[in-house]
Amino acid sequence: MGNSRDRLTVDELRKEVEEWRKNRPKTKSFISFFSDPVDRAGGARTLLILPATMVMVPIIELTNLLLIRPVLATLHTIIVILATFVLRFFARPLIRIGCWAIRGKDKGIRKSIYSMYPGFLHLTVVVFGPSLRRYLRIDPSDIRSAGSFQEWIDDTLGVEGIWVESDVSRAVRHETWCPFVDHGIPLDPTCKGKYDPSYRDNTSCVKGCPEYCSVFMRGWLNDFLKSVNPEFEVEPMRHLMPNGDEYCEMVYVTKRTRSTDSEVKP
Amino acid sequence: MNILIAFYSRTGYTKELALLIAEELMARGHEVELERIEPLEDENMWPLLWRTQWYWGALALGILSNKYREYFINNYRIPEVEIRSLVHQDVSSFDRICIGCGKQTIVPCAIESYLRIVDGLKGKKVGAFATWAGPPLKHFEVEHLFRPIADRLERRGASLVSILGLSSRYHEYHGQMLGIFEFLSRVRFGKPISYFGVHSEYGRKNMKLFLDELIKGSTDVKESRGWRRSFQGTGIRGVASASLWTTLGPLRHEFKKRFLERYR
Repeated sequence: MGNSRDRLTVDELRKEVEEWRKNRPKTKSFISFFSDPVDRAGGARTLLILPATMVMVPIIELTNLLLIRPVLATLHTIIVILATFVLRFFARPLIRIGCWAIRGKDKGIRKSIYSMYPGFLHLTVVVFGPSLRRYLRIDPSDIRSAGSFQEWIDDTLGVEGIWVESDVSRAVRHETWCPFVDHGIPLDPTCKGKYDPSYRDNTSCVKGCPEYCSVFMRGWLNDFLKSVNPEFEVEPMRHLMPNGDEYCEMVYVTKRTRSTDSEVKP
Repeated sequence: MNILIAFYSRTGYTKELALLIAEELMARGHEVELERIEPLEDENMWPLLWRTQWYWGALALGILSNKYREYFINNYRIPEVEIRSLVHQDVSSFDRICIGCGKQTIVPCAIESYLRIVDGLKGKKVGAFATWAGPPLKHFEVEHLFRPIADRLERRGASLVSILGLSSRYHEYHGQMLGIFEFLSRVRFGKPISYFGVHSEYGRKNMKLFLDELIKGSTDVKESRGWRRSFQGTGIRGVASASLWTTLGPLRHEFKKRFLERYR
């Protein structure tokens, strides 16, 4: 914006319009295309460009609508399906490796895996993030909408949870049942392990390994949230089922709604 | 009521309509404030045309397919220009706001800038008026100009409650364009362009209706004009339906005409 101006009154406007009425612009005749040098230059250029745009724009638009966008949409859908399969079938071994690395993170190969693990999770966000953002129709100004990434993870893995707070700048999710806490069950859509103890496998569960959720999972969620909006983040978790709490609590905040340090005691 | 009339006028015809509206409002006992929206640099008419020339091809495609037209109106980007600082930067103290402009193929760039930078629009009832060369064609003039304005107002928390479009019977781009509009007016409405002029009976009557609706503030233009239903421009379904209707829409009508009605 430029200079500041004085207030325009109705009387001033009336005077202006009366002046304008005496000499109001009239539509020019076709002859001015040849007589007026400005119109000659402008009109010639328009006559050259206009037919090209009348032909080219529909071609470009139809190519976009009929070819490019359907191909891109199909590509995104394939990537999302692939991401769902990867999460569904590799989550269990990945969690097993993660917990194994955490339990011996001070030395040897476990130390290396522990340090590389967040990088690997970040890579999944880079590869699958853009397609997931599109598939989940995430609104970058709404943190609850960004939280639908976690809903997708939970739906894929069979984790049960609810949103106890839903706002555009703050959202809280409680996860009340997780197949990896008490019993590492086979990843089965019927969740047989929840009802039948014979399906349970305690060797790979995250019980006694809360760091997996508080460090790796939180880091992964934060990676994704940062790719949506750099102001979004998940606060350090105060309630964790591997610690013996009733539920895991994920608090999604923006920089404005972040709790003060005294409130958060991970 | 305290009413703000903000207008952008290049050739003076919208300014004249703004004055008529201001006088009518004052005659009804309302307080009127004026805001002239001015680009920092005045432009020759040709660069204005070139800036919007991209849209002409899309407009042609929009004639073939209603779906495409909706998609186009919802998705096109209006370029902005730098405008002079506003006298009334914050409009929250006004009860009603009137925004006026001419139609430059699409929404004028200065109006796009104004709607982005003005403060205090939340919860306001807004009326929009415009002058254009031709008759009030439902899609080419009314929908192409007022629907994007309604969308932008809605995004800022305001609502468009009243619209007025009248003919200036003036076209900057030479007489042949006016001839085309004169022809369209006689074909579509059976009346000359002058019938829809600012000083005509039609103009006076519609201006009164416009102001009545503006003061009442209960009409939702998007709802009453059927602009609420938005076309889904993203996702497979949206793209597929746009693609399908863009190509098959005209063929479907032809098919119905030739085959279905024959066997009915």
